[in-house]
Amino acid sequence: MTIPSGQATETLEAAAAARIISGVKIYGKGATTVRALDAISADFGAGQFTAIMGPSGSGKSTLLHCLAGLDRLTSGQVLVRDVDLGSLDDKAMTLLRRERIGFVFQAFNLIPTLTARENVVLPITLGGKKPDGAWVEKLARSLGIADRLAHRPAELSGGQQQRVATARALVTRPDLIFADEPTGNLDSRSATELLTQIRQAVDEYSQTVVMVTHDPRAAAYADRVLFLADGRLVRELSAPTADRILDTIRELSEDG
Amino acid sequence: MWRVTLTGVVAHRLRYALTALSVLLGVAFIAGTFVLTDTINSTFNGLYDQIYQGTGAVVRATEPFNPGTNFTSQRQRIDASLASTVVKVPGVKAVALDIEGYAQLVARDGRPIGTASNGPPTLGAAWTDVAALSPLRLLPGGQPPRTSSQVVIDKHSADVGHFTVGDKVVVLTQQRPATYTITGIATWGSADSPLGATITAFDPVTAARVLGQPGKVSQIDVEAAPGVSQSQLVSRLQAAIHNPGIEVVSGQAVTAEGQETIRQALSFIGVFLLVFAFIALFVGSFVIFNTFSITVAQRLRELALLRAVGASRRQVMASVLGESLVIGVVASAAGLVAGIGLALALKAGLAALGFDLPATGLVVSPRTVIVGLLAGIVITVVSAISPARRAARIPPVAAMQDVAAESRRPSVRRAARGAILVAGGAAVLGAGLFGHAGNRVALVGAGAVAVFVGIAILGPFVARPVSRLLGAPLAMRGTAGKLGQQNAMRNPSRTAATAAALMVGVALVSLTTIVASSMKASVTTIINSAVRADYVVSSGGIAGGASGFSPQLERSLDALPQVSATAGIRSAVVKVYGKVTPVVATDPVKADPLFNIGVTQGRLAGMTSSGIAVSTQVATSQHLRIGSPVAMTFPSTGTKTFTVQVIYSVREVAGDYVLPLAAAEANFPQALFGWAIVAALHSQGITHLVIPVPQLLGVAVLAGLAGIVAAIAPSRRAARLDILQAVTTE
Repeated sequence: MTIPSGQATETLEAAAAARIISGVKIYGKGATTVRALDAISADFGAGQFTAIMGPSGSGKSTLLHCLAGLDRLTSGQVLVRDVDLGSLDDKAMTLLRRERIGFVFQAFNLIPTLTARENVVLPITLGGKKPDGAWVEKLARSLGIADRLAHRPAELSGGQQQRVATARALVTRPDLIFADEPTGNLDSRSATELLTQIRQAVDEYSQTVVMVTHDPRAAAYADRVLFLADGRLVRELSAPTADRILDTIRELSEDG
Repeated sequence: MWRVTLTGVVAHRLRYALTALSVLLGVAFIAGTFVLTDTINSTFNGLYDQIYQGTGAVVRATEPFNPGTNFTSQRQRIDASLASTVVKVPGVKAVALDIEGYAQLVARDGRPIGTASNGPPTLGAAWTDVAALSPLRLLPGGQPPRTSSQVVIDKHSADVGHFTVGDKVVVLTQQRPATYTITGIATWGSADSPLGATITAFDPVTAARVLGQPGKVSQIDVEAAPGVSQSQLVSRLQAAIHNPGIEVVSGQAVTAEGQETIRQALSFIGVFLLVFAFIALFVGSFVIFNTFSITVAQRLRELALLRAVGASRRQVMASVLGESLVIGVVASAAGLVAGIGLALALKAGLAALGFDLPATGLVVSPRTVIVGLLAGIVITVVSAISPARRAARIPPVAAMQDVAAESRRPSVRRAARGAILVAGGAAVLGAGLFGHAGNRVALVGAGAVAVFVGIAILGPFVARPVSRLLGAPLAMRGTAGKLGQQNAMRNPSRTAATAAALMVGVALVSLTTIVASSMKASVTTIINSAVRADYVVSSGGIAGGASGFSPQLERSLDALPQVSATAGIRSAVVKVYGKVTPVVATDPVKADPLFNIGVTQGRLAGMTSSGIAVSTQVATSQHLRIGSPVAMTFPSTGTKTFTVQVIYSVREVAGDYVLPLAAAEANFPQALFGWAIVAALHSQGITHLVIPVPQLLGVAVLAGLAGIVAAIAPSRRAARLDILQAVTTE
């Protein structure tokens, strides 16, 4: 499938930070083939906070990996701003991840041998650049880790580690932030704090965030929720609340 | 990124410390070797400069050929009367008659001082009163030897034998053993003795009689008058002597010769130690490869995370290589320091063997530092390349998934590569062992390395079935055993890499065992088959060296009523068919019944003084038949032609050429009887391959035990692992 260039691309740029068009991802060969994404199409608007939900094996993590340039589609296209990820080689993909995409993972988010501060500025120092000290300070203050920057990950609580990871995701002022179950390992208080801070980042810096989660309460922080099942987009919910999300999940499982 | 590397090394310092140890050992051997040889060379360079400081020129016989480093020079002696011509040459201040020969000091317990077989030489010399021309410096309280029953000995021998001035000492020479009075003890320059050699100085007349021939001297040393340069002196002497058989060389040239001789004599130590260094680094490269492979597998998620947040493949690879670089630098630097310590230890070891070295500061040359560091660093980094490339191939998505450490099936290409290396290496090894062309030692070395690497590459193919087989008895005994077996089979590459380091070790020990057994068997076989004699009397001297015993001994033995037959054997180094070769001479009639050298043509007992016996190998390669002429160049008397009268097949005892005693008397420079069987081994080496199965099995069992012992600490750590931690992390 091809996208007409010119006008179409311009409107896309204005409307969406990222877009997946007829994305197919197939794992394995022969009898063990798994169709993780089945011709899925979706837009992710700039400055929008999108949550992706779905049962285990619905393809939500695969969708995130492919959008983020960590994995490649079997067919179809992923566009980040105006760039077709399929056209990038490994080097260009690395640069894209470094400069335009931020990550927050469920676990093992930080390099254990580096201090919190070194972890935060890693995407910048990897590019051989000097981090903007004032910006790092500001991020650390707003995430409540200003007094923790000299510590190593092992000396931080789970919540603090996730906030350091969030600061790292924000430090390059990326076009997109991807979060894969960021609250999965956190107690409810830490989870609430982290989600509040991500929400703030969306509101204050017009940050685009895509988050995969199991937790309806976490998804309720988003602007909209995409529901996946069997590699397909089955429902979309705008301005969600935890109750509406739960209702939707119930409906979908009854349909299935 | 560099910071990730550095902190990574610090975080894993214990594991890396063990890795670094093997690099450290290799570098220590390299550095130790260089420091030791440089130190010895610099010491002797200094000593020779000192000793020949007053020597303007040396007058001596020309040498028809250079006998090479394995044999001592066998220059013909010159007439002492030449000194009267020399002393009249303008610019000559003083001359000294220099006589050198074999003199063995005997300690009070009747044993020789110094190990004559492999140790430093036992030298006899003529005392000279011209201080500028004498290397010997009398210690206070000593007097020069003035009568035929007086000697001066070197301080090292005096210390070893507990001799003081006034003591009596027995000295063996080519004449009858005699007892002398020690009138003085001397140093050799500022050293107690050169390399632990023993020196006995006689008065010049006695020296000529017991060391050489009356009226003959080894060389004439000349001291220049003030204002006369060495080159002026040399050209004036050459003009005055005008004899093609005599050469005049400057003191500087003689100094350089002496220094070069020492350098070459000691090069064997260097080669020996560098082989150790090479082996240590070779084993080290396996250990490094293994450690880095494990580290990369363990840090899979960390490396994937780096990739996810924007580290390029190149950066990840550089990070791993950077770690190896840091380890290489640290280990090599530590190795240099350890090498200096090793040099000190080796020096002490050499002293214990009789090679006494004067105490001086250690010489650490820039070459030592550069070569040591470079070897250690390059080996470490090169060994880490393959794991680093694997690290760079980790997909960034691995940071988010529970990807099990990859256990790819080894590829067909890998099998082909391994098989080619093993086959090629075996071919080169075979060529080195059994061929005759080229540098055989280098071929054997290169072939062995190729075979090792090839087997290491093939390891993963073998590891799975072998693990299954060896693990089977364990697996039958319960779940724990089964888990162990499965774990070894799960990642055959890892299992094989771990085994490789042990494999190299076992291979080296096995090789040494086989060589030692084969050598022993070869010697035994030779002696049993070729020597019919009941006893062999040998001084154990080095081929062509200044050792052996007086021809008197043969006559004394003959005179014993218990002895029915004797045959003295003499040796020399000659040049024949363009090659420097040791030859033996004996009385063919007397030797015939005592030796079985497999005569195929002619009769030993029928040999005349112009005859020669040659081996079938030489006869074939040079197309010789009975009656063919053989031209042989002697160091003293030049080229002589002999007629082939006997052809024999057993080279192990006799070598390639046997001369009649009359030819030896006319042409050999030394009137000494000496080695027979020792010489044969020098030229022949190993003839019988013996594989001592029980010892080799023992080595294998020990290696297995070593493997188990090495696994005890990790097993205990695994057993102590906190359960909750094990469940939550990962």
